[in-house]
Amino acid sequence: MVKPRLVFLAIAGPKNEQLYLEVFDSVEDSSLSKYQYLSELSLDVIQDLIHDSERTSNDCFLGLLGVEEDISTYAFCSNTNVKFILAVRSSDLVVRESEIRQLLRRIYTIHTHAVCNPFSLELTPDTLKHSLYFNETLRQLNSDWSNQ
Amino acid sequence: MIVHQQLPMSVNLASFDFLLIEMVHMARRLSEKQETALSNDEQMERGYTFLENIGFQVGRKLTERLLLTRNRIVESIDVMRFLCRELWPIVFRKQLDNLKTNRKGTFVITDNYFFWFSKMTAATGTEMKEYTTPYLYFPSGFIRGVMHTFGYPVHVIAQCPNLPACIFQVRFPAPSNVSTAESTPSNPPSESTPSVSQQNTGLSRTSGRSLSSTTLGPNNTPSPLNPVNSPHPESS
Repeated sequence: MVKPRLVFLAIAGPKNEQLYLEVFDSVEDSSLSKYQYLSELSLDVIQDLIHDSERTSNDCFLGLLGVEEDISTYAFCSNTNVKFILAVRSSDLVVRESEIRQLLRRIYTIHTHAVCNPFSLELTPDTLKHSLYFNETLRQLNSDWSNQ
Repeated sequence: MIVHQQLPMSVNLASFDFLLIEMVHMARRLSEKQETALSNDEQMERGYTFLENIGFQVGRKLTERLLLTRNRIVESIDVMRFLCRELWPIVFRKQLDNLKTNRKGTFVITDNYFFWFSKMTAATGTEMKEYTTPYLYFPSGFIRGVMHTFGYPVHVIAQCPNLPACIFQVRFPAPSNVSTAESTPSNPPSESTPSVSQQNTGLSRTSGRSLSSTTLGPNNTPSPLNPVNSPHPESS
C-alpha cells in the first residue's frame, strides 16, 4: 500500500524553541519558511491541547492537529515537554493514525537516545542537528516509511 | 516497563561505589591544579560545583530514558510521585523513608539508609560533616537534574546528619519570579520545616504542618504540593 509522503518533522523544546526542523519532501524551493510557519501554528494548537483541563486521555500522542492546504500535521508531546510535529502530505491516500503514532513514538525513542549521549555535554538547540545518530536514523525511518 | 530488580548486581554496585569515591578525589585534585588567586575554599567550591554539574547531567538523562514508556505526567504531584515511587527504588534500590512539605514549595526527602553511602563510616560530630559534604554534591545535582527534566528549576540542599541517613531539601522557585533559584547553598531556606538541621535518624513520621492540596498555577510552576506522608507500605 502506498503511503503519503512525509513532509517535515519539527521538534520543539519545553519553551517552544525550535530544536530541529527536517524537510523530507519539498515541492517548491521556498517552502522552508512555510514549514516553519506551519510548525509554529501547530505549536499553538499543542499549547491549547496541553493546557486544556478537560482532556481525559493521558496519552502523549496528540493526534491530528489540523490540515492546511495539502499538509496534515500530527503531534506528540513527551513528558519532558518536548514536542514532535510530523507533517504528512494529505492526499487521497488514507493514512492510519496508528502508524503515525508508531512512527512518532519511534522518533521519540531515537531522540531520547541522541539526547542521552554521554558525550553531549550541554544540551543546546544545535545538539540534535549535529548528532550523527539522529540524522542517520531519521533518514532511515523516512526511507522505510516510503518504501513500505 | 522497568522493574525494580532485586538481583545482586555486585559488579555494578561495587564499580559505582568506587567511581563515586574517585570522582570526589578527582574534583579535589582538579580544583587544586588551577592556579588562580582564589582562596582555598573557593577553589574547593568550584571543584564541587563540577561534581554537581555531573550529577545534574546524569539525572537529566536518566529521567529522559525512564520517561520513555510512561504516559503523560502533568501535575507536580505526579512528578513527586514519579520521583518517590519510581525513580528512587530504581536508582537507590529502596523506597523513600519520609517526605514532608510545607505549603510554600519546599519539600524534604529523607532516606534513612542512603544507598550510595552505605559503605562509608566516619566519626561522629563535626569531622563527619566535613568528610561527607563533598559526597553530597553528586546526589543533590542528580535530584536537581531529575526535576529539571520536568521543567522545574529547583534548588537542592543535601545534609547528612548521621551516616548513612541523608536529607534532601528541594525548593521550588516562587511562581512570581522564576529566577530566584540561584541562591547560595549555605543559606538555609527560610520557609522550610524548622527542625531539619537538628534531625537525626529518629525522625518522626508525621510533619508538624498539615498537608495541603495541590494547586497548579497556569504557568506550570507548582506552589503547594500534596505529597505522600504515610510510610510506604512495601519495604525494600
